Amino acid sequence: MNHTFLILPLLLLFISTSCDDNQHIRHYRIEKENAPEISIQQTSVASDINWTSPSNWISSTGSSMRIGSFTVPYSNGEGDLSVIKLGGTAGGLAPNINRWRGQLNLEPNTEEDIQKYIQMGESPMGSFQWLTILNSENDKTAFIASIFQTHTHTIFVKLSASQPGISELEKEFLNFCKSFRMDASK
Amino acid sequence: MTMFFKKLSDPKIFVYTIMWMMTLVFIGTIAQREMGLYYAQQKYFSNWLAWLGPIPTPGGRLTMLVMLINMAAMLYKSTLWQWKKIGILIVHLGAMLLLIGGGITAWFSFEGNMVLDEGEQSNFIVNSQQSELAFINTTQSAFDDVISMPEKILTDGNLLTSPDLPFSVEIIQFYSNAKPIRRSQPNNDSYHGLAKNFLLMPMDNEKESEMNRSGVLFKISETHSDADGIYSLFLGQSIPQTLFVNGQNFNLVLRRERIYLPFAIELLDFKRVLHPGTTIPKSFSSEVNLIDNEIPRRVMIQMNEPLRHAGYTFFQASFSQSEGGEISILAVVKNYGRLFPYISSLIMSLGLLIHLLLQMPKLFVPKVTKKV
Repeated sequence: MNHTFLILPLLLLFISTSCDDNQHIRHYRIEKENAPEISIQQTSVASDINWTSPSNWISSTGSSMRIGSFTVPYSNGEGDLSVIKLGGTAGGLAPNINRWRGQLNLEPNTEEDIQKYIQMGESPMGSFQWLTILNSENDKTAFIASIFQTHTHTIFVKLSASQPGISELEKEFLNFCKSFRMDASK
Repeated sequence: MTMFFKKLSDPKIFVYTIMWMMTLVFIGTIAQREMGLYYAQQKYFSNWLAWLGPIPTPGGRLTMLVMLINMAAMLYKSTLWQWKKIGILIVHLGAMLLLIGGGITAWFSFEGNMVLDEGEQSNFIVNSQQSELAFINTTQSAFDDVISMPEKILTDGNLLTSPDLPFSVEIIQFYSNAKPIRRSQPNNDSYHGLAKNFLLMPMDNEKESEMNRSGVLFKISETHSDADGIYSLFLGQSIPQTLFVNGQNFNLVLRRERIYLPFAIELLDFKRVLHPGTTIPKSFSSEVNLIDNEIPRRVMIQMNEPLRHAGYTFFQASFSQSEGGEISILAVVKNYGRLFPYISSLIMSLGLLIHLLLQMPKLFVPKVTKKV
């Protein structure tokens, strides 16, 4: 009795199933998706201030003045974010903004001019002011910064990146600032 | 040839393969404590060879193939094809069917997770064990074209091209688990985006394979522009790398492998019931809309009551909490070999019953003992 026919299909079955479908480049068309949601992770610092930062931000070591420091990736590079806490008014709003403007080779502005373009945001720690500083002649470096004024301290949050990077990261930066809160346990 | 089949159908082969499978199960069970369930399964059962240190031994896949061939060769024996052995033959075929079902499950089935916020809708599942390098052409305003390269082909040195991509991609290195480390100074101009300022440092795989953060370093060429160069991506990089080539915009992203479904699921409500006075969940359930051909159907998925639709099975696996509300995590399985164990068990039971019935008359025939 010849039963070879029983063995051959089995061998063929296994040979054919060896062709793994998941080893090829796939192409498919989908409806437009919303921008990916940024997952948030809790970050605590050795300070009385807490915040939540996006999970793709990478903690970095900055100068000793920084109470927080992050490397912030974006599509074509990475930015540097610093959180600095200084006593009192830290010299005032205009001198600090003009110092940043000077770093981008921009002329200083008067307090009145600054008030025209500076914007307000809200966080559990209170309201903050924020602004972007761009030099149209140099798109390689730009700043987005926020300033929190408490009864005893001024907190500066500054992100430095290219101009396209600042545009891309603005929403993330503002969400980060909106998460600032005081840690009552410290 | 007959001699060959005689050797191949030797019942000893079956005995040895069964014993070796038992050994593998024992070793795999011990190993999973150290290396985690997924990697132990991959190493000992899903591979052709299982390496015990430097020694190659037959893996689960090879062992079961040998077992199947041996059983198939046994069918060649004419002694099996007798009416009085019809029960044994049926049992034999049932066992073979079981092994074939195992093969089909191993090769064609897949599983993943669907993660849904309350009110959210999704038509894809993610494979938490595998990554994919996706090039998403976002040029059109109505849709995106996705060209995805599964992890299995992201092997070092592999050159990948597609008629849908206006450039070629050469994988320099793929890391199953890596950590981005900032370079002390930016790399040269051939490096772009993240790769310019970061390097990916390979790390040991986590015991929980889902915790691995894979990374890939690759070279893009033939764009005939400044975009040619070396790029890197890592899993969880929420902002994709972008590329502009020949008037087309591409998002480059390394993400968990996605499998798109021909229908969508919308999470209406997630409910969690706790044991009274404790924080221990008693049960959790997801009320969902199953949207197929734009027709919604309301279904409840709860523990031990999965949703089965179009070959997919949705189990209530877990849940999580987000800022916006509760998140339901559904385990999704598509198993083409799902019915094989049931069918083969029935066949084997039938075979054993027939064999018992055929042998029953012998029980009533008195044994004749020879007097010396």
